[in-house]
Amino acid sequence: MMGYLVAILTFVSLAVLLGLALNIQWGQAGMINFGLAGFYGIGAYTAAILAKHGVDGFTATAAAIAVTAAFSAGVSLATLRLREDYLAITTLAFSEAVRLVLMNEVWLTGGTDGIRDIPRPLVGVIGGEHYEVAFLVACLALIAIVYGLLERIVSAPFGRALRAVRDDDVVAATLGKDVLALRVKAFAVGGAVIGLAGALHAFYFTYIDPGEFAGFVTVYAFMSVIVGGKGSNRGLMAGAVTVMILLEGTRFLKDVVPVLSAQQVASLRLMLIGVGLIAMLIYRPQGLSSEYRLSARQPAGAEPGS
Amino acid sequence: MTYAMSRRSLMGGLAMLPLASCFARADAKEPIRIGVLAPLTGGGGPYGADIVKASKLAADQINAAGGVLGGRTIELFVEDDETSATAAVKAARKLLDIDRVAAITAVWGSAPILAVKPLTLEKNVVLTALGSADEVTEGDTRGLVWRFQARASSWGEPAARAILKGGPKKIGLLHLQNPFVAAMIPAFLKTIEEGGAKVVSNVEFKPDQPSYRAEIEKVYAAEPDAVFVPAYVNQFTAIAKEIYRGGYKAKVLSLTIAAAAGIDGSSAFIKNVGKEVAEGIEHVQPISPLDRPEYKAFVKAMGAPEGTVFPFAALQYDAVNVLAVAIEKAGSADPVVFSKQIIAVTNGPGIKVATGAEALPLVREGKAIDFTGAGQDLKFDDRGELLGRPFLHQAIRDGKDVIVGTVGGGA
Repeated sequence: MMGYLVAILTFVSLAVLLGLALNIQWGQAGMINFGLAGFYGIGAYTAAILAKHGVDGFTATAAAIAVTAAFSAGVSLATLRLREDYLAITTLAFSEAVRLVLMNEVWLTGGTDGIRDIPRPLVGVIGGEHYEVAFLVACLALIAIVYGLLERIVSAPFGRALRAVRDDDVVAATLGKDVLALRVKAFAVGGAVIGLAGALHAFYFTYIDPGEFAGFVTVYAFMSVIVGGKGSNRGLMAGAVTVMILLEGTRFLKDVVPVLSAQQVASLRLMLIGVGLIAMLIYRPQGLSSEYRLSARQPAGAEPGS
Repeated sequence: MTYAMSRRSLMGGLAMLPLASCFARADAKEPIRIGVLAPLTGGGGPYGADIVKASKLAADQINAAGGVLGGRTIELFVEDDETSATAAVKAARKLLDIDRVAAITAVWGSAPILAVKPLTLEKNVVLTALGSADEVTEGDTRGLVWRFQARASSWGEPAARAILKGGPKKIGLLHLQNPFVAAMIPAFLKTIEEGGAKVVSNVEFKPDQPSYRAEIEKVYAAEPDAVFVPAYVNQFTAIAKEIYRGGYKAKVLSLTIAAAAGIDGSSAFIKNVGKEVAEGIEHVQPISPLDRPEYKAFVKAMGAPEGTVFPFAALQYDAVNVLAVAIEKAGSADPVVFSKQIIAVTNGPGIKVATGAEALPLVREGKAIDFTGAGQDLKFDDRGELLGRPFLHQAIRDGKDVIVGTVGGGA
C-alpha cells in the first residue's frame, strides 16, 4: 500500500517537473515544444550513460541538465526565424531524430536493447529498503527548488518580457527587448528542467529503452499544462496530479465494473482519459488556475498592466 | 481559496482510491491472489486477450475442483502492461502493493519483464514470464523467476535447420534489432556454417520504420537462395509486402508470431497481406505440439476451432496450473516456499497429469506427479529455464498454414 503510493507520487513528481518545464517554454514564452519526449530522452540517456561509466549520480544529473539545456538552446537557435507552428513541427522532428539516434547508435545507447542496471546514486548509503521513500523525498525537494526558481523567473522582469514576446514579439522588439535571446533562454531553462526529470527517470527505473521516450510523454505533459492552466505553475502542479489520478485511478475501474473484459477495460481506460481532457477543455478551458498577473494585485488607480 | 479547496480534495481523492479497494475486499476465506500482467494494448496487444482468457480458464477449473490448501480459491488480478516498461512498472506496483499477489504471471516482451523483475524479487514474489530474452533468467533470481517459453538463444538452431531443409547454399539474414532477436543470431549463424551453407548478407532493421525497402534491397543484393526474417507481425507485414512488390524469388522464413496464417487462414497477417503475398512463406517457432491430446483439450476448452495455434496462451494456462499445484504441494501460499516445489511437480518422476484440476487431488493424497501441461511436457532447469521446447516448422499454402515438420526440441 505505502509502496504503491510512494511509486505513484514519484511518477507524479516526474510529471510535475516535465509540466513545469513545458509551462515556461509554452505557457510563458509561447514556444510549443512537441519534442519534449526527445529532450527527456537526452536527459535520461546522458545520466544513464555517464552513471554506467562510473560517474557519480550527482555529476551525471548535473551533466544531464547541462546537455539537455544546451540541446534546447541549440534547437531554438536553429529555428530562430520560424514562427510558432513551425517551431512545433521542428521540435517534433527533433524528437523523432533523437529517437532514431537512440535506436541506431548501438555503441553509445545500446540500441533498442536499452540500458539496464543503471546504478542509483547513494544506494549504498541509504540502503535498498528505504530507497524508494528517499527518492521520493529528493524528487519533492527538487520540485520545491525548481518551483521556487521558476516562480522567481515568472515574476521577475525577465518573466514579464517573456510574456510580452509570447503575446506579440513585434511589440516586444519595438520596445527594445532582445526577442531571440529571451526565447533561447526560456527554451534552455525549460530544457534544463526536462534534463533533470530525465535523469530522475533513469535512476528511478534503472532501465531505459528508446520506447519510453515516445510521443505519449509529450502528450501527458501537455495534458498537465492544459488541465492546470497554461502559464500558472501552481495550477500546473494540480493539473499534473489530476492527470496522474485519471491515469492511475482508471486502473481500479475494472474492479468496480466486472462485466467488461480486461482488454475492453484497458482500451476504455485510454478513452476515458481522452474524454476527461475534452470535457476539461469544454467546461474549463482556462484550466484549474490562471497565470500570474501583476495587475490583479495592484491598488486602484495604478496603470493597468497586461 | 477555491483553488486550495480543490487541491485538498484532489489529494484526498488520491489517497482514498487505493483504500476503497482495500475495504471492498475483506473476505473470510482468504483467496490466493495471482497477478496477470498481460500485454492488452501496444505491440503485444494481439496476444493479450488469449493470455487472459487462458489464465481465467485455469483459475476457473482449479476453483471448480475445490481450490487449493483446503478450499482457498485462486483469484486473478489482471493488469495491462501496455507492452511498455514504464506502464508495466506502474501496474506491477499496483499488483504488489495493493493486491498483494503471490505471483505475477504472463509478463510478455523483454522490456516489461526486465523492468518488473527487480520489483518482484524485492517483494519475494514469483515471476513467470512468457518472453524469450536471455537476460530474464540471468543474474540472481533466487529461484523465483520462471520462464514459460523457450530461451531466445535456443531459437537460432531450429530456425537454421528449418531454412537448410531445401538445401540452399546462400542464406540472407534480415533481422529486427531487439534483445530477443539478437540472442538467436549467434546459434543461427553457427548452425548455417555447420550445415555447409553460407550467410551472404546480414542486415539489421529497427522497429517502426516507415519503410524497409533499403534493408530488403541490401539483403537481396547478394542473391541469397533463402532469407530468414525474425521479427514481429507489425514489421513482417510491411516487409512481406515489400518483398512481394520487389519481385524477389528467394524462400522467406520468419517466426510464427509474425507470419502465422492460421490453420483456417484467419490470422491478422494473412488478412493484412492477402494470399498471394503470403504464398510460400515459411515460419518456425517453439510451439505447443498441435497433435498432443492435452493441447487439443486446451483448445477445446478455450472454445477455439481445432488446430488453432496459441503461441503464448497455452503456456500461460500451464503457468497458472503449475503455481496452484506447487502451492498445494508446498502446503503454503508463501512464494519463497512454493516456488521451490515447481521443479518437483513438473520434472517428475510421478503420475503424468496435464491440468491443475487432475493434479490437485493426487497431490493431496501425497502422490508424486509429473505435470505435463497443455503447451508441452514441462521440464525446468534450476535457473527457471523451460527445457526441450519443440519447434514447429510450417509453410503457407493457399492462405493456410501447412505443417512441414518439427525441428529441434524434445517433442
